[in-house]
Amino acid sequence: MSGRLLIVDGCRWGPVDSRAKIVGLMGAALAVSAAPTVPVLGVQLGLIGGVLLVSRLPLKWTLQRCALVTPFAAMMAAFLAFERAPDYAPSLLVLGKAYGSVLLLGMLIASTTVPDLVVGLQRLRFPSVLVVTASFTYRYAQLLEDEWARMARARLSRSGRGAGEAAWGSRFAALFLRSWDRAERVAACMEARGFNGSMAVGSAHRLEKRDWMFAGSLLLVAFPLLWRL
Amino acid sequence: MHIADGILPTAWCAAGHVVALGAVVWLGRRVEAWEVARMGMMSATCFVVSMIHFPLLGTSVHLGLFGLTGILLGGRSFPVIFTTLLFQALLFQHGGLLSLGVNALNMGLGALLAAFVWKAPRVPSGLRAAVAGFAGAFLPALLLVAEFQAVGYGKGFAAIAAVYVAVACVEAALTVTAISFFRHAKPALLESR
Repeated sequence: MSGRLLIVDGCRWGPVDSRAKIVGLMGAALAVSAAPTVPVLGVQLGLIGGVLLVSRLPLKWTLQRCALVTPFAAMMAAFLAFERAPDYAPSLLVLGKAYGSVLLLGMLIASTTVPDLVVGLQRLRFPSVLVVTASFTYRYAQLLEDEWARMARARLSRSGRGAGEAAWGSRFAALFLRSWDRAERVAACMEARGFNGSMAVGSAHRLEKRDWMFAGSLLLVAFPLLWRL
Repeated sequence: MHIADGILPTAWCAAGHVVALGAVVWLGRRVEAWEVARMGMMSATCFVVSMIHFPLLGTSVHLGLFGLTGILLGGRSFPVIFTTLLFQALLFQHGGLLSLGVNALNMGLGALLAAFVWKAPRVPSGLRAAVAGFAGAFLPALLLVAEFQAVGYGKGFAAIAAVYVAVACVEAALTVTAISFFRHAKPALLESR
Protein backbone atom coordinates (compact mmCIF):
# COMPACT_ATOMS: atom_id res chain seq x y z
CA MET A 1 0.00 0.00 0.00
CA SER A 2 1.73 3.14 -1.18
CA GLY A 3 1.52 6.22 1.00
CA ARG A 4 0.55 8.16 -2.12
CA LEU A 5 -2.28 5.75 -2.88
CA LEU A 6 -4.90 8.34 -3.86
CA ILE A 7 -2.74 11.44 -4.16
CA VAL A 8 -3.74 13.56 -7.14
CA ASP A 9 -0.73 15.34 -8.59
CA GLY A 10 -1.36 19.03 -9.11
CA CYS A 11 -3.88 19.38 -6.26
CA ARG A 12 -3.32 22.81 -4.74
CA TRP A 13 -3.73 21.70 -1.13
CA GLY A 14 -0.70 19.39 -1.12
CA PRO A 15 1.60 21.80 0.75
CA VAL A 16 -1.05 22.71 3.37
CA ASP A 17 -0.31 21.30 6.84
CA SER A 18 -2.25 18.09 7.48
CA ARG A 19 -3.58 19.46 10.81
CA ALA A 20 -5.22 22.39 9.01
CA LYS A 21 -6.69 20.03 6.45
CA ILE A 22 -8.09 17.61 9.04
CA VAL A 23 -9.62 20.37 11.19
CA GLY A 24 -10.94 22.41 8.26
CA LEU A 25 -12.43 19.48 6.37
CA MET A 26 -13.91 17.81 9.45
CA GLY A 27 -15.42 21.14 10.53
CA ALA A 28 -16.93 21.66 7.09
CA ALA A 29 -18.27 18.09 7.04
CA LEU A 30 -19.88 18.71 10.44
CA ALA A 31 -21.47 21.91 9.15
CA VAL A 32 -22.83 20.14 6.07
CA SER A 33 -24.21 17.36 8.24
CA ALA A 34 -26.05 19.94 10.38
CA ALA A 35 -27.80 21.63 7.41
CA PRO A 36 -31.47 21.94 8.40
CA THR A 37 -33.01 22.77 5.01
CA VAL A 38 -32.35 22.10 1.33
CA PRO A 39 -31.57 25.78 0.49
CA VAL A 40 -28.97 25.99 3.28
CA LEU A 41 -27.41 22.76 2.06
CA GLY A 42 -27.45 24.10 -1.49
CA VAL A 43 -25.44 27.18 -0.47
CA GLN A 44 -23.00 24.97 1.45
CA LEU A 45 -22.52 22.67 -1.53
CA GLY A 46 -21.94 25.75 -3.68
CA LEU A 47 -19.16 26.90 -1.34
CA ILE A 48 -17.61 23.41 -1.34
CA GLY A 49 -17.82 23.42 -5.14
CA GLY A 50 -15.90 26.71 -5.15
CA VAL A 51 -13.11 25.28 -2.98
CA LEU A 52 -13.09 22.19 -5.21
CA LEU A 53 -12.66 24.34 -8.33
CA VAL A 54 -9.72 26.17 -6.77
CA SER A 55 -8.17 22.86 -5.72
CA ARG A 56 -7.75 21.78 -9.40
CA LEU A 57 -8.94 18.22 -8.79
CA PRO A 58 -9.90 16.51 -12.07
CA LEU A 59 -13.66 16.25 -12.65
CA LYS A 60 -13.40 12.55 -13.54
CA TRP A 61 -11.62 11.76 -10.27
CA THR A 62 -14.23 13.72 -8.30
CA LEU A 63 -17.12 11.94 -10.01
CA GLN A 64 -15.50 8.56 -9.35
CA ARG A 65 -15.30 9.37 -5.64
CA CYS A 66 -18.97 10.42 -5.67
CA ALA A 67 -19.90 7.20 -7.45
CA LEU A 68 -18.51 5.19 -4.53
CA VAL A 69 -21.14 6.51 -2.15
CA THR A 70 -24.02 6.67 -4.63
CA PRO A 71 -25.51 3.16 -4.13
CA PHE A 72 -25.76 3.52 -0.36
CA ALA A 73 -26.88 7.17 -0.33
CA ALA A 74 -29.45 6.58 -3.09
CA MET A 75 -30.84 3.55 -1.25
CA MET A 76 -31.21 5.52 1.98
CA ALA A 77 -32.82 8.43 0.11
CA ALA A 78 -35.25 6.03 -1.56
CA PHE A 79 -36.23 4.45 1.79
CA LEU A 80 -36.79 7.91 3.22
CA ALA A 81 -38.82 8.99 0.18
CA PHE A 82 -41.19 6.03 0.65
CA GLU A 83 -41.40 6.64 4.38
CA ARG A 84 -42.00 10.43 4.25
CA ALA A 85 -43.87 10.84 0.90
CA PRO A 86 -44.95 13.38 -0.34
CA ASP A 87 -42.23 15.31 1.56
CA TYR A 88 -39.05 14.64 -0.46
CA ALA A 89 -36.88 17.25 1.26
CA PRO A 90 -35.39 14.71 3.76
CA SER A 91 -34.31 12.48 0.84
CA LEU A 92 -32.63 15.43 -0.90
CA LEU A 93 -30.91 16.39 2.35
CA VAL A 94 -29.53 12.86 2.78
CA LEU A 95 -28.20 12.80 -0.79
CA GLY A 96 -26.71 16.29 -0.58
CA LYS A 97 -25.03 15.68 2.77
CA ALA A 98 -23.55 12.37 1.61
CA TYR A 99 -22.07 13.97 -1.52
CA GLY A 100 -20.87 17.04 0.39
CA SER A 101 -18.99 14.83 2.81
CA VAL A 102 -17.49 12.76 -0.01
CA LEU A 103 -16.20 15.87 -1.76
CA LEU A 104 -14.58 17.15 1.43
CA LEU A 105 -13.02 13.79 2.25
CA GLY A 106 -11.82 13.56 -1.36
CA MET A 107 -9.93 16.85 -1.02
CA LEU A 108 -8.23 15.54 2.12
CA ILE A 109 -7.11 12.22 0.67
CA ALA A 110 -6.16 13.68 -2.73
CA SER A 111 -3.66 16.00 -1.11
CA THR A 112 -2.37 14.11 1.94
CA THR A 113 -0.19 11.00 2.09
CA VAL A 114 -1.01 8.33 4.68
CA PRO A 115 2.11 9.08 6.79
CA ASP A 116 1.26 12.81 6.78
CA LEU A 117 -2.27 11.99 7.86
CA VAL A 118 -1.02 9.88 10.77
CA VAL A 119 1.37 12.65 11.83
CA GLY A 120 -1.51 15.14 11.62
CA LEU A 121 -3.67 12.98 13.87
CA GLN A 122 -0.79 12.61 16.30
CA ARG A 123 -0.16 16.36 16.48
CA LEU A 124 -3.87 16.99 16.98
CA ARG A 125 -3.58 14.80 20.12
CA PHE A 126 -5.73 11.93 18.93
CA PRO A 127 -5.52 8.94 21.31
CA SER A 128 -2.00 7.53 21.22
CA VAL A 129 -3.19 3.94 20.74
CA LEU A 130 -5.11 5.01 17.65
CA VAL A 131 -2.13 6.80 16.13
CA VAL A 132 0.24 3.91 16.83
CA THR A 133 -2.19 1.32 15.45
CA ALA A 134 -2.80 3.46 12.35
CA SER A 135 0.92 3.79 11.80
CA PHE A 136 1.46 0.01 12.17
CA THR A 137 -1.56 -0.73 9.95
CA TYR A 138 0.00 1.28 7.17
CA ARG A 139 3.37 -0.43 7.67
CA TYR A 140 1.91 -3.94 7.90
CA ALA A 141 -0.40 -3.54 4.92
CA GLN A 142 2.80 -3.03 2.92
CA LEU A 143 4.30 -6.05 4.67
CA LEU A 144 1.31 -8.21 3.67
CA GLU A 145 1.69 -7.02 0.09
CA ASP A 146 5.42 -7.89 0.14
CA GLU A 147 4.82 -11.35 1.60
CA TRP A 148 2.10 -12.06 -0.97
CA ALA A 149 4.47 -11.08 -3.80
CA ARG A 150 7.27 -13.23 -2.32
CA MET A 151 4.97 -16.24 -2.03
CA ALA A 152 3.74 -15.80 -5.59
CA ARG A 153 7.33 -15.51 -6.86
CA ALA A 154 8.41 -18.60 -4.94
CA ARG A 155 5.49 -20.60 -6.31
CA LEU A 156 6.12 -19.49 -9.87
CA SER A 157 9.80 -20.36 -9.65
CA ARG A 158 8.99 -23.85 -8.32
CA SER A 159 6.01 -24.84 -10.43
CA GLY A 160 6.00 -22.34 -13.27
CA ARG A 161 2.30 -21.57 -12.82
CA GLY A 162 0.04 -19.64 -10.47
CA ALA A 163 -1.96 -21.22 -7.66
CA GLY A 164 -5.31 -22.83 -8.44
CA GLU A 165 -8.46 -21.66 -6.72
CA ALA A 166 -8.38 -24.63 -4.34
CA ALA A 167 -5.13 -23.33 -2.86
CA TRP A 168 -6.45 -19.89 -1.98
CA GLY A 169 -7.47 -20.87 1.56
CA SER A 170 -4.09 -22.31 2.49
CA ARG A 171 -2.30 -19.43 0.74
CA PHE A 172 -4.23 -16.88 2.80
CA ALA A 173 -3.57 -18.80 6.02
CA ALA A 174 0.14 -19.16 5.22
CA LEU A 175 0.30 -15.48 4.26
CA PHE A 176 -1.29 -14.49 7.57
CA LEU A 177 1.10 -16.59 9.66
CA ARG A 178 4.22 -15.53 7.73
CA SER A 179 3.21 -11.88 8.00
CA TRP A 180 2.36 -12.27 11.67
CA ASP A 181 5.80 -13.76 12.38
CA ARG A 182 7.51 -11.00 10.44
CA ALA A 183 5.40 -8.38 12.22
CA GLU A 184 6.49 -9.76 15.58
CA ARG A 185 10.12 -9.67 14.46
CA VAL A 186 9.68 -6.03 13.41
CA ALA A 187 8.13 -5.24 16.81
CA ALA A 188 10.94 -7.08 18.63
CA CYS A 189 13.51 -4.98 16.74
CA MET A 190 11.61 -1.81 17.63
CA GLU A 191 11.40 -2.89 21.28
CA ALA A 192 15.14 -3.47 21.29
CA ARG A 193 15.60 0.10 20.08
CA GLY A 194 13.46 1.46 22.93
CA PHE A 195 9.94 1.41 21.50
CA ASN A 196 7.48 1.13 24.40
CA GLY A 197 4.12 1.13 22.63
CA SER A 198 3.77 4.84 21.96
CA MET A 199 5.17 7.07 19.25
CA ALA A 200 7.38 10.04 20.05
CA VAL A 201 5.72 13.33 19.11
CA GLY A 202 8.04 15.32 16.89
CA SER A 203 8.16 19.07 17.31
CA ALA A 204 5.38 20.53 15.20
CA HIS A 205 6.19 23.58 13.11
CA ARG A 206 3.90 26.56 13.44
CA LEU A 207 0.95 26.78 11.09
CA GLU A 208 1.59 29.22 8.26
CA LYS A 209 -0.73 31.85 6.80
CA ARG A 210 -1.60 29.45 3.96
CA ASP A 211 -2.72 26.76 6.46
CA TRP A 212 -4.93 29.18 8.39
CA MET A 213 -6.46 30.48 5.16
CA PHE A 214 -7.28 26.97 3.98
CA ALA A 215 -8.92 25.94 7.26
CA GLY A 216 -10.70 29.30 7.52
CA SER A 217 -12.11 29.16 3.99
CA LEU A 218 -13.48 25.69 4.65
CA LEU A 219 -15.05 26.74 7.92
CA LEU A 220 -17.00 29.39 5.97
CA VAL A 221 -19.22 26.44 5.02
CA ALA A 222 -20.70 26.74 8.52
CA PHE A 223 -21.95 30.30 7.96
CA PRO A 224 -25.08 29.44 5.97
CA LEU A 225 -26.30 27.65 9.10
CA LEU A 226 -26.78 31.08 10.69
CA TRP A 227 -28.94 32.42 7.92
CA ARG A 228 -31.86 30.03 8.21
CA LEU A 229 -32.77 30.36 4.54
CA MET B 1 -22.45 -2.20 5.93
CA HIS B 2 -20.79 1.11 6.65
CA ILE B 3 -22.98 4.13 7.33
CA ALA B 4 -22.04 7.09 5.12
CA ASP B 5 -22.04 10.70 6.35
CA GLY B 6 -25.34 12.54 6.20
CA ILE B 7 -27.44 9.45 6.92
CA LEU B 8 -27.62 9.77 10.70
CA PRO B 9 -28.36 13.01 12.60
CA THR B 10 -25.31 15.06 13.57
CA ALA B 11 -26.01 14.57 17.28
CA TRP B 12 -25.86 10.79 16.81
CA CYS B 13 -22.55 11.07 14.97
CA ALA B 14 -21.08 13.33 17.66
CA ALA B 15 -22.27 11.01 20.44
CA GLY B 16 -20.90 8.02 18.50
CA HIS B 17 -17.48 9.67 18.26
CA VAL B 18 -17.40 10.54 21.96
CA VAL B 19 -18.35 7.01 23.07
CA ALA B 20 -16.13 5.28 20.49
CA LEU B 21 -13.06 7.41 21.25
CA GLY B 22 -13.69 6.86 24.97
CA ALA B 23 -13.78 3.12 24.32
CA VAL B 24 -10.60 3.34 22.23
CA VAL B 25 -8.77 5.09 25.07
CA TRP B 26 -10.19 2.76 27.76
CA LEU B 27 -9.59 -0.49 25.88
CA GLY B 28 -6.23 0.66 24.53
CA ARG B 29 -4.78 1.84 27.84
CA ARG B 30 -1.33 0.62 28.89
CA VAL B 31 -0.73 -1.02 25.54
CA GLU B 32 2.65 -2.74 25.28
CA ALA B 33 5.00 -2.94 22.32
CA TRP B 34 4.28 -6.62 21.49
CA GLU B 35 0.55 -5.87 21.54
CA VAL B 36 0.96 -2.97 19.14
CA ALA B 37 2.51 -5.34 16.58
CA ARG B 38 -0.43 -7.74 16.88
CA MET B 39 -2.95 -4.90 16.70
CA GLY B 40 -1.32 -3.37 13.65
CA MET B 41 -1.08 -6.74 11.92
CA MET B 42 -4.73 -7.57 12.61
CA SER B 43 -5.85 -4.13 11.49
CA ALA B 44 -3.88 -4.46 8.26
CA THR B 45 -5.36 -7.93 7.68
CA CYS B 46 -8.92 -6.71 8.25
CA PHE B 47 -8.23 -3.79 5.90
CA VAL B 48 -6.86 -6.01 3.14
CA VAL B 49 -9.61 -8.65 3.52
CA SER B 50 -12.30 -5.95 3.35
CA MET B 51 -11.07 -5.04 -0.12
CA ILE B 52 -12.27 -8.41 -1.47
CA HIS B 53 -15.96 -8.08 -2.33
CA PHE B 54 -18.46 -10.86 -3.05
CA PRO B 55 -21.75 -10.45 -4.90
CA LEU B 56 -24.68 -11.60 -2.73
CA LEU B 57 -28.41 -11.30 -3.50
CA GLY B 58 -27.94 -8.36 -5.81
CA THR B 59 -25.66 -6.48 -3.46
CA SER B 60 -21.95 -6.54 -2.71
CA VAL B 61 -20.58 -7.65 0.66
CA HIS B 62 -17.14 -8.18 2.16
CA LEU B 63 -15.81 -10.03 5.16
CA GLY B 64 -14.85 -8.07 8.25
CA LEU B 65 -13.09 -10.66 10.44
CA PHE B 66 -14.67 -9.12 13.55
CA GLY B 67 -15.06 -12.51 15.23
CA LEU B 68 -11.46 -13.52 14.54
CA THR B 69 -10.20 -10.12 15.67
CA GLY B 70 -12.14 -10.42 18.93
CA ILE B 71 -10.78 -13.93 19.55
CA LEU B 72 -7.16 -13.01 18.85
CA LEU B 73 -7.07 -9.60 20.55
CA GLY B 74 -9.87 -9.54 23.14
CA GLY B 75 -10.60 -5.99 24.33
CA ARG B 76 -7.81 -4.58 22.17
CA SER B 77 -9.95 -5.44 19.13
CA PHE B 78 -11.97 -2.23 19.53
CA PRO B 79 -9.10 0.20 18.74
CA VAL B 80 -8.14 -2.13 15.88
CA ILE B 81 -11.63 -2.02 14.35
CA PHE B 82 -11.70 1.79 14.75
CA THR B 83 -8.39 2.10 12.90
CA THR B 84 -9.46 -0.26 10.12
CA LEU B 85 -12.65 1.72 9.60
CA LEU B 86 -10.70 4.98 9.57
CA PHE B 87 -8.55 3.67 6.72
CA GLN B 88 -11.57 2.29 4.87
CA ALA B 89 -13.41 5.60 5.16
CA LEU B 90 -10.42 7.62 3.99
CA LEU B 91 -9.21 5.45 1.17
CA PHE B 92 -12.30 3.67 -0.13
CA GLN B 93 -15.19 5.81 1.05
CA HIS B 94 -16.60 2.89 3.06
CA GLY B 95 -18.54 4.98 5.56
CA GLY B 96 -17.79 8.59 6.42
CA LEU B 97 -15.55 10.32 8.92
CA LEU B 98 -18.47 11.79 10.88
CA SER B 99 -20.23 8.44 11.13
CA LEU B 100 -16.96 6.67 11.96
CA GLY B 101 -17.78 6.61 15.66
CA VAL B 102 -21.16 4.92 15.13
CA ASN B 103 -19.65 2.47 12.62
CA ALA B 104 -16.85 1.65 15.05
CA LEU B 105 -19.34 1.06 17.85
CA ASN B 106 -21.47 -1.23 15.66
CA MET B 107 -18.57 -3.36 14.48
CA GLY B 108 -16.38 -3.05 17.56
CA LEU B 109 -19.21 -4.33 19.75
CA GLY B 110 -19.43 -7.34 17.43
CA ALA B 111 -15.72 -8.03 18.03
CA LEU B 112 -16.10 -7.57 21.80
CA LEU B 113 -19.05 -9.97 21.84
CA ALA B 114 -16.94 -12.49 19.93
CA ALA B 115 -14.14 -12.07 22.51
CA PHE B 116 -16.67 -12.67 25.30
CA VAL B 117 -18.09 -15.78 23.61
CA TRP B 118 -14.57 -17.16 23.03
CA LYS B 119 -13.86 -17.05 26.77
CA ALA B 120 -16.91 -19.19 27.63
CA PRO B 121 -15.73 -22.12 29.78
CA ARG B 122 -16.48 -25.82 29.15
CA VAL B 123 -17.55 -25.35 25.52
CA PRO B 124 -15.62 -27.02 22.65
CA SER B 125 -13.34 -24.53 20.91
CA GLY B 126 -14.86 -25.26 17.48
CA LEU B 127 -18.33 -24.33 18.71
CA ARG B 128 -17.02 -21.23 20.49
CA ALA B 129 -15.23 -20.13 17.33
CA ALA B 130 -18.36 -20.67 15.20
CA VAL B 131 -20.61 -18.71 17.57
CA ALA B 132 -17.99 -15.97 17.98
CA GLY B 133 -17.57 -15.65 14.20
CA PHE B 134 -21.33 -15.54 13.63
CA ALA B 135 -22.03 -13.10 16.47
CA GLY B 136 -19.15 -10.85 15.48
CA ALA B 137 -20.65 -10.33 12.02
CA PHE B 138 -24.35 -10.43 12.87
CA LEU B 139 -24.46 -8.08 15.87
CA PRO B 140 -23.27 -5.10 13.75
CA ALA B 141 -26.09 -5.80 11.25
CA LEU B 142 -28.68 -5.89 14.04
CA LEU B 143 -27.37 -2.66 15.54
CA LEU B 144 -27.46 -1.02 12.11
CA VAL B 145 -31.09 -2.03 11.55
CA ALA B 146 -32.02 -0.78 15.04
CA GLU B 147 -30.32 2.57 14.39
CA PHE B 148 -32.04 3.06 11.03
CA GLN B 149 -35.41 2.25 12.54
CA ALA B 150 -34.81 4.62 15.44
CA VAL B 151 -33.89 7.46 13.06
CA GLY B 152 -36.99 6.87 10.94
CA TYR B 153 -35.89 5.07 7.78
CA GLY B 154 -38.69 2.53 8.12
CA LYS B 155 -38.72 -1.19 8.71
CA GLY B 156 -37.43 -2.24 5.28
CA PHE B 157 -33.95 -2.65 6.67
CA ALA B 158 -34.91 -5.85 8.43
CA ALA B 159 -34.25 -7.45 5.02
CA ILE B 160 -30.62 -6.35 5.31
CA ALA B 161 -30.28 -8.33 8.52
CA ALA B 162 -31.50 -11.36 6.58
CA VAL B 163 -28.75 -10.82 3.96
CA TYR B 164 -26.22 -10.59 6.77
CA VAL B 165 -27.24 -14.00 8.13
CA ALA B 166 -25.52 -15.43 5.05
CA VAL B 167 -22.44 -13.24 5.60
CA ALA B 168 -22.34 -14.21 9.28
CA CYS B 169 -22.45 -17.92 8.33
CA VAL B 170 -19.46 -17.44 6.01
CA GLU B 171 -17.63 -15.55 8.79
CA ALA B 172 -18.42 -18.35 11.24
CA ALA B 173 -17.06 -21.02 8.86
CA LEU B 174 -13.95 -18.94 8.20
CA THR B 175 -13.38 -18.33 11.91
CA VAL B 176 -13.66 -22.06 12.71
CA THR B 177 -11.22 -22.92 9.91
CA ALA B 178 -8.75 -20.22 10.95
CA ILE B 179 -8.86 -21.17 14.63
CA SER B 180 -8.42 -24.85 13.79
CA PHE B 181 -5.45 -23.96 11.54
CA PHE B 182 -3.86 -21.74 14.22
CA ARG B 183 -4.25 -24.46 16.87
CA HIS B 184 -2.16 -26.80 14.75
CA ALA B 185 0.25 -24.37 13.09
CA LYS B 186 0.79 -21.71 15.77
CA PRO B 187 -1.00 -22.40 19.07
CA ALA B 188 0.81 -19.48 20.75
CA LEU B 189 -1.42 -17.16 18.73
CA LEU B 190 -4.45 -18.27 20.75
CA GLU B 191 -2.78 -17.85 24.12
CA SER B 192 -2.83 -14.52 25.88
CA ARG B 193 0.53 -13.48 27.34
